[in-house]
Amino acid sequence: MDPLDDPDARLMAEVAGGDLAAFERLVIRNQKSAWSLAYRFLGNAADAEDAAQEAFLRILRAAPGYRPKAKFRTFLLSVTGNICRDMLSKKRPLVLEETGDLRDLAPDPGEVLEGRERTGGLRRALGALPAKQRLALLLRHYEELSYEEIAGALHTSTKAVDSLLQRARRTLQELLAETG
Amino acid sequence: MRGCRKIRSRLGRLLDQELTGREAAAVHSHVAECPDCSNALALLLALNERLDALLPPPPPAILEGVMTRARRENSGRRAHIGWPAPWHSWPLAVRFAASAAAIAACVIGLMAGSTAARYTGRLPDRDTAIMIMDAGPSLLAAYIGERR
Repeated sequence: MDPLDDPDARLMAEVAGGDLAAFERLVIRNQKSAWSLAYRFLGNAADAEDAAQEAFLRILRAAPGYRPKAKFRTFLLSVTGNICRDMLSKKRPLVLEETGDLRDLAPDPGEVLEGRERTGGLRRALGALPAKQRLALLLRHYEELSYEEIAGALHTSTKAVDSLLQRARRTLQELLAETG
Repeated sequence: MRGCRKIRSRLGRLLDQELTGREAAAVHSHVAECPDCSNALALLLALNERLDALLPPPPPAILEGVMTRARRENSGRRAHIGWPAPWHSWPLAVRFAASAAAIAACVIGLMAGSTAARYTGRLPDRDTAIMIMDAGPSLLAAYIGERR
């Protein structure tokens, strides 16, 4: 991929020159990706907000030395993922919010309860996965990164990514079969 | 059936569209004839559907927080660059003038000290010498007058 094809990479070049307006545009374009990954990984909004903010600030500081080798979004998700893993290793146990799912806004109270139990069970199962497996699964399923991009983000091989994803899915299936 | 283990290990990559056309065709033809592998594929599809339902809440005010911190960091950096600027970034003429001024200050200080010693018959104590060097010629004149 030609880096100049990526509008975010062009914005990064402006950020490297000290242009804070370009940085603001970069945040606006990508904040949803960083937030979604952090929220799904960490399981609560306050920590996810901190992680997403920290990711953008690290990117701002790294801008002068940034050389685009992959899509900017992959770089952002890699930085966000590293921050999330650091936060998780310093902060245990994982606190999972039960109120954030948009499906919880369904009008029927019975459906709401069932939906909450289902998504709550899935969140707990995701939270029980080892950090690297969880990150690989989130990057694949929600961010739709290819195995090669995930390998770049996690500094590993595509074969290792395949193995991480297989183990993550197997563990999730087992945990969900136990809890429903 | 034969080859189930290999096929199962490829089901995830099939759903992720990470297999070549030939590999995908081989998995499909096996799954079509193998109930166990077909069931394994159905379970993976069900897991994907369940994951799809896990939506995050809308993002909070990330932009505001980031930009506030970014502006603070940026102004801090600018203040650092503003004063004192690194020596090597000064123009050559300014560096030369500053060096000459520093040397002249040292020479004047030494001359003042030796003059004071000549007039008083002894070297001034350390605190007095520092005071003389700081305060300059007017204080030196007053000091000499007082000693006489």
